[in-house]
Amino acid sequence: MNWTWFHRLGSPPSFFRFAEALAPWLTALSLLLIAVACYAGLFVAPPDYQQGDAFRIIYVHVPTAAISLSIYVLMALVGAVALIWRMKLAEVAVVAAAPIGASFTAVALVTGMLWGKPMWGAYWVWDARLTSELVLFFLYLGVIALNSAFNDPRAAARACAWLALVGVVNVPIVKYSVEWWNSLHQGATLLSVEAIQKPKMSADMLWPLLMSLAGFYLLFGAALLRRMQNLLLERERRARWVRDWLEAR
Amino acid sequence: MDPRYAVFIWSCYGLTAVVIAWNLLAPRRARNELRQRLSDRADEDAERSDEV
Repeated sequence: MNWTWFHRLGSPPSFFRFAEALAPWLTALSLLLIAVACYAGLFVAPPDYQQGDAFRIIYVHVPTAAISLSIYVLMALVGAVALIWRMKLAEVAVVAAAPIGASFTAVALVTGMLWGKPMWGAYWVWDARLTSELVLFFLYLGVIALNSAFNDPRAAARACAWLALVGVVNVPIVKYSVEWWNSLHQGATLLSVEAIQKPKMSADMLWPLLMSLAGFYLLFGAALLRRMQNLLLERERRARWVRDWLEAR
Repeated sequence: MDPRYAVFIWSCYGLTAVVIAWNLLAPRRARNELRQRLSDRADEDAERSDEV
């Protein structure tokens, strides 16, 4: 198999062109999926037999919570690549992913609070799942603050990569907190062996959730590509390809 | 929809919509500002080289 196209993607101008072509499609598809999923979640899915209509919050809470973990794992992986191979695109990806991750973590926390109030009677409890997700939010803020604290963008990206690598230990804590400790929070609905063997949700409740998950992941892809493009333009502003791009505008 | 939960549900969906919009629009705005800044700098550099 010819891997030349993959290696070429490692070069900033090739990646920039690739992202320029892909991002609009990802944006459009993600918005379509999220819109259909939200409509189905609000108006088509039947109410839950225990939680009634309050369960409809699942269609925004679960995808944002899942993606908040996935983004941090991605940051740790590309952070390792940035530290080991000093690849520019990996450095840029760590820095670009943090604000997106922070925003989705904030949504997961707030929607969780708004779901908790009618179900548990309290907006917040110092439960292992909620607390570890809050720690995840602070880790994202830490990466953003660390990036702003350096004048040299490459040094900043390496520091962010270290924090992403160290902080990734919190991800399994968030994921398995409901199994390791007594928790008010319910267990995994989708991502567990039992849930895959025997789904815990009926099909008419499940498909909007899967569609919403797909939509949020694509949205993250689009936002990440756009932020990476901006960082590349800033970093490579003296390069010939950036000047050509500016002249072409 | 059960009116007891409507405020909670719509608040969640509203907040999510705002964050989705922010994630899509903030990079676009940053790109426009960056493009303007880089163009201005390129013009300044061109003027300086003309003077030299």
